[in-house]
Amino acid sequence: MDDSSRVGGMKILVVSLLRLGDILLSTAVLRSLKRQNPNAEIHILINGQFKSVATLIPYVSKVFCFDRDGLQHMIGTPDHSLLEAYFRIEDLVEKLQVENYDKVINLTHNRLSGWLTALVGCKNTQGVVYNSEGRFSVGSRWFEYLNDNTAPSLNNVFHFVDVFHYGAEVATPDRRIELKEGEAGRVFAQNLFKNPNAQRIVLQPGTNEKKKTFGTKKWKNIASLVAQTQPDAEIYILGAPSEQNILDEICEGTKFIPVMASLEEVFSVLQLSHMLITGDTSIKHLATGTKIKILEISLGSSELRKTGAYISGAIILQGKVPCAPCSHRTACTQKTHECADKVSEELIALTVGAMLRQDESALRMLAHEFRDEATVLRTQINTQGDWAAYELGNRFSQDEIGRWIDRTSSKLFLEKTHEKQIGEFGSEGLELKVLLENIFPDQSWREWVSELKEMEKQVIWFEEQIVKLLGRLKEILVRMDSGTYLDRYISELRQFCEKVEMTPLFQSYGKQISLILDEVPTGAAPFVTVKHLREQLGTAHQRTKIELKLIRGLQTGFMEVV
Amino acid sequence: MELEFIRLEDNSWIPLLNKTLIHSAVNPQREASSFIDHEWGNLKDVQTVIVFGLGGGFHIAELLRRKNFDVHVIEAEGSLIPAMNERWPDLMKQIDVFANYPSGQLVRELQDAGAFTHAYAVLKHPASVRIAPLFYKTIQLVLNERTLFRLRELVGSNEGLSQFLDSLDINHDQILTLPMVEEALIRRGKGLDKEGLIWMTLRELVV
Repeated sequence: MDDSSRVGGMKILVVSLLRLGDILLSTAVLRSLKRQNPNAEIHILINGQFKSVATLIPYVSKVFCFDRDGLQHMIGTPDHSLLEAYFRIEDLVEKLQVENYDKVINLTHNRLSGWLTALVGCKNTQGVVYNSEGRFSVGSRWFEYLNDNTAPSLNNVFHFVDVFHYGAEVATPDRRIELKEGEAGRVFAQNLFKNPNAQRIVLQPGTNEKKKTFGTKKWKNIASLVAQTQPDAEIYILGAPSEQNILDEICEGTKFIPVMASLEEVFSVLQLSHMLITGDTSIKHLATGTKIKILEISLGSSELRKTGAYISGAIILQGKVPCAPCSHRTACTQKTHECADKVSEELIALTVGAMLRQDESALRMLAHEFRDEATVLRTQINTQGDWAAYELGNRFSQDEIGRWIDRTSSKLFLEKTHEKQIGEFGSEGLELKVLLENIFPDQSWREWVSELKEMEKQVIWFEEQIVKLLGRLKEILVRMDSGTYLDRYISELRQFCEKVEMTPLFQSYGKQISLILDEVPTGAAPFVTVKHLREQLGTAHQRTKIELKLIRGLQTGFMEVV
Repeated sequence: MELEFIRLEDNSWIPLLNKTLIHSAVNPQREASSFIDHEWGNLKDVQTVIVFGLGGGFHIAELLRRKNFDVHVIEAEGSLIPAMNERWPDLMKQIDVFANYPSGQLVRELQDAGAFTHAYAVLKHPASVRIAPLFYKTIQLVLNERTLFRLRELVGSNEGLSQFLDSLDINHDQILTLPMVEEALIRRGKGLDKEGLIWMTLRELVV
């Protein structure tokens, strides 16, 4: 809903209470909000430990800090009264309430932020918020989607920035992260870079989790190999002051230049550099606010599809192991750091070369050559503004095409396109076609049409099954007294879901029905169960209709080329 | 502190701390049974017991014999722990023992161990407390600072918060913990006012 005339001049609070990287991602929403509502006053609530980031965020007129660490210390230390923590929160809440916000957008998907959002007392909220009965709501299908996809997974989920934009109803085609360079940072970078014409490659070895990065020795090898393959480049090893030991170890006995810098300084260093090699860190998100080329190494719990570099043209390398991505909460379960071992120094150095030369075919050849060890992905933002990361060198297959069709149909469903009189199937279908052609640039139109026809048959079959299942639900309503009949139905439905979940084309909504089956409360009245099932099957039915339209649209599109 | 053990005829061990016996050398089981009888009125309805003093463990064994309590023991003498692990491993496996913590940190450790999650009782083993009176007094003071009674005093003139604390069905001598407030709010069932929302926010900070 773009209604700038109504919302102009309003006061909006954005809540982002996770880590630094999440705050940086949410700045894209702040930018979109400001662009849609130029007269709006935008405030942000972040965790106090990251308040230094505020200097980099444009468009925000007030930053509120939630002193999470301080509060936890007060609660856990008997030297403080529990009431100190209480009064600290009450102070913050009073300050927020005084602002009398017209809208609060909570981009943090956790309970704590939901309680705080409730305390602000604004009636117009988006994102998690609790009501006075202690029940939570999210206010948008997109935030529900976020809730359904919290676990680490390889599924083709949407990027947080896109989900935030759709959830907050500020999605425009231009959703980039834009940050503000400070004078201190600019001076720091200018003093650091003596040769204005040098090619500067920056490596950032530190991460907040050990399993998200390589060991120091491997970083040193990577830097050495990059230096050998790019003999004219200057190599900078970037880190926070607390990472001095790592930097010293990597730079010892080499010409690499260690750079210990604050966030503001790092941003300016990246502005004047040409290439960044980094793990899944907030520095990566800082870099997306500059023009630097980004090579992202996605290891451990890094979820590239949700938090990958939000920019077109970045390359992401991920080790091919069945355990990736793993959970944030657990240590690596393998004997060796297998996902890191799979991404070799050689692959990284060769990728850097291909990226600097802008050699697309070399990147695809690398993806093919190293396909047993690692996945090479390219990021893309389409003309509608949606981000995607697709594998280079993937084999042409129905499975891969199906995953992307399933993803696009997810978006259309979440956007309720099927409920609108004039849907956006055409433009979404066109975007999907461009994406698929980028993934498989060498396929002939005949191959496309042949695969799509086959997939059309599958969707028609699936739709028929759903219609039958819906029909049988009506029978159950008639025989409501027979619990056995319902049990048998649920058992058959479960088997059906297991089968369709394996098919990428139906993956997301096969999973949806399975989830609802798991949630059927034991001992629930049959009527309640039937109602739940009918709603979910009805949703799946709508999704099949969307997929059919997409597939048929794609077929026409590929044939039109002819 | 000097620690020794003497062995009784029935093969059980009794610790001597600074040459002081901390259980009956004749029949420590009967002594423990009589002690728990005396305290039973405070204990019978709770699930968690915080015990001041591990001693030779007889009073704790008696507690566990009567009910499957969650027992958290605070002990002033750290060397008693390995000695008891060696002599009475079965008992030690059933309880959490906290020793060698400064009193300030102890509450945090107890909280992390779930000692304050539900209503609890404090059981003071008299002989242990006699040997390290200052230590246990400090612990008691620290715990008292967080009783609902004390918090109620600290609230001062904040009417809303006073009424909120009064509306919780929690004994005034209980240490107020955040999970306990959450439970009380659910029991109260009147919905959440501003105060309730703030307590729920605090609650999330210790999840």
